[in-house]
Amino acid sequence: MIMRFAAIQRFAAVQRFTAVLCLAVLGGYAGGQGPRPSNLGASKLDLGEPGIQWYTTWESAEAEAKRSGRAIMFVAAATQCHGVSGVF
Amino acid sequence: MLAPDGQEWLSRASRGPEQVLGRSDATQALHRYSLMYPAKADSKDALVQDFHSFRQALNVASADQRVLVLVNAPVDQEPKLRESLRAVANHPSVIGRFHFDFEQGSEWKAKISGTRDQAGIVLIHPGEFGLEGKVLNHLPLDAANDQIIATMGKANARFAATTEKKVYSQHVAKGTREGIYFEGAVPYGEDRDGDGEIDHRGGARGRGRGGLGGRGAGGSPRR
Repeated sequence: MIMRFAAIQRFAAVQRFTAVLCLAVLGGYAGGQGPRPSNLGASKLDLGEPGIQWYTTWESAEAEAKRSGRAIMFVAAATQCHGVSGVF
Repeated sequence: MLAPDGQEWLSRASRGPEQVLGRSDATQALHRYSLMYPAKADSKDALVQDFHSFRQALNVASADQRVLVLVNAPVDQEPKLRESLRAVANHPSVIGRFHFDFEQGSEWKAKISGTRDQAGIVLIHPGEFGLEGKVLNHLPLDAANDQIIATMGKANARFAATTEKKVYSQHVAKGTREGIYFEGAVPYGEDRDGDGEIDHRGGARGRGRGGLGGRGAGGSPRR
């Protein structure tokens, strides 16, 4: 399992890209189960364009949340999940 | 969703974001959470991302198709770099385009081509399956932030221009055919029947697919 964390302020900083991620995730989870890996297409983001800047250790996410006072969106993703950083 | 203390739950946990944030507009739901906790510090001073391991960083950068920024510094210099690089990592031209990892030592070099002997800030093009990579640029640890940002911008542009965008279904299929294996901490698959064991639809045959440690044996065969 790879855990990924993002302080909400990051969503404010890249708000227009948050929607892209959420749409991808929502589409994938419709019906309770996402598509199998064999059914996935390409990312909606062009290469080189900004997405969400995730924190990828709990320690760094917690420290940043306490520093900034922002809430945390916690995403724990198994390898077969998709739509979040590092997995499809 | 968690409060800034990392302890208080603001929402229930669920399998998908629509159960947590609502189906109508997840962005608006996130915005409402952000209004509950207005920033008390400037986002341009936010901490720099890090990974638990270089192996994981390379794999995630490959999956996200981003350039990996490896800060390879001696232990006594790392804290200072974590501070000074905040201005780099939160620069508008940088944020969301790269992954950052801090590593000491030289073990990471075994998987990367084009490395140098010196410590430095290393921009890495992750390989197709995130198991290897190549150096795009190597900057000294005392490089000025403006120089780092400019170099990263050029590297990102070159990366985007010369890298084929992944179609994940094809990527997964190729990885399976070639027996590509990335071992994760959690076994690949799900315990759908709640018996405490990962379900293997294909039984022994299914576990054999994907080469060494294919599906069911732990990790993903995709990368």
